[in-house]
Amino acid sequence: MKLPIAEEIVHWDLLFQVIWTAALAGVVVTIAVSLAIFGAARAADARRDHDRVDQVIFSTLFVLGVAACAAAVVLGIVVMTTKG
Amino acid sequence: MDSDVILVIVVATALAFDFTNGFHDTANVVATSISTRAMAPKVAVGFAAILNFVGAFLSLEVAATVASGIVEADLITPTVVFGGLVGAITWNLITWYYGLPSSSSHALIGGVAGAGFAAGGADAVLGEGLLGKVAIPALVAPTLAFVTAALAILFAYRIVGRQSPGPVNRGFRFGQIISGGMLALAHGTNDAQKTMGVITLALIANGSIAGGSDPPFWVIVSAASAIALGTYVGGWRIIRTMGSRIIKMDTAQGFAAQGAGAAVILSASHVGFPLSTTHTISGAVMGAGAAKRVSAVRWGVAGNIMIAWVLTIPAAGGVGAAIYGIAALFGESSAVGPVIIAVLGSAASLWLFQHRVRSGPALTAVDA
Repeated sequence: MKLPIAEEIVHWDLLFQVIWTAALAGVVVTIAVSLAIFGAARAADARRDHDRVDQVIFSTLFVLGVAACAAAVVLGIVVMTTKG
Repeated sequence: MDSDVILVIVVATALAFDFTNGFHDTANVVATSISTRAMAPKVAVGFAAILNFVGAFLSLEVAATVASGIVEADLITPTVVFGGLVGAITWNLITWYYGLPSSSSHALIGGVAGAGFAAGGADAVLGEGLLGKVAIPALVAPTLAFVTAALAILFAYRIVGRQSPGPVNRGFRFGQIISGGMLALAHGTNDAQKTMGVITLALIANGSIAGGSDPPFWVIVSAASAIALGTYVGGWRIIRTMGSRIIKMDTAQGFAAQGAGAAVILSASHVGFPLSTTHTISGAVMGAGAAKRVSAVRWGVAGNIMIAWVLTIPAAGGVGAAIYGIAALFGESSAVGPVIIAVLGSAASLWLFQHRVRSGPALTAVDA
């Protein structure tokens, strides 16, 4: 049970929205960067081993990771420029 | 005549606060990048200064609300704002002196609340506003950032843990440059606006511009310049605390802290629940360290930082109240008090800077 005063002061729905969006965004961005790094490292290994299939797979992973990061950067700039 | 003098002093004091805000908060943006050698110290602060300057122009939604909901609006006079600004500057300088990261926004809110209390008594300060704008965000920001960065670093270790360190370190260092840039831009958009708001309010109160006006161009440029200059000068003592005294971080931890911190700040800003950059990044650094090993965090240092957060509002408020009281001794609308305080305060600040710069660490002494 929440105290009436807390109910008035704290916008609980907004607070929970902040918690899940912020946590999700933080974790997703780190995963995207980690996958890009993993993809680049494994693609380089595959290139050295002349393994074309792995090279394509891990290069694709790298590109997807970088694309996700670029999207996060663009989204961040949009948030900054449109905040009210 | 007196009102014009007070206006000039309030504008100058607001710009001085803006400078200390940039100076104090440089650590949020560059500490982890310097600590993991993603950027050289001077390059990092230069990069952060430029992006803070640019960020100040990105959004001109003036944050004139820094004191609204905290103090009764009809009590906010230029002298109250002056007292609040001096309280905030004083607290920023004290925490810088001891190398403690603390929120400049909370210092400003505390300063204005203290000056408002001195001007109008206990009824002038709106407790609900302090709880909603300060206390709850102060709990949410570090906790949320701690958990987010801890989860992020666990995923990062899981994904890249078995790769050779060379490409992994290069990748995370590059990621830190990007996330640091985002933080610097976000800081410029948020914090420079506060100073623009304070100056614009003072101009409106003095009748220099019409009510509801946008900030004049010179206000935007001067606020952007002050925060950028402060960022470039850099609060190296706080950078050292944030970058190496809380945890000794590797590149993955540095990115997890900074990347998760940037994501938390921008997500919260998007939802309309702005969080303190300082609280968020400090919590993220602790989370990135504790997820690897709880004892990796120097909890004594973390405890000192948290004590500084708790003391921010009462300390800045106490100084704000005292400054307002001294200024009001000469008359609420007299310029004599603010002039004397401004001269003495400037001299004390210069002495403190000179003293600390002479005895403080060199740029390269950040424990990188």
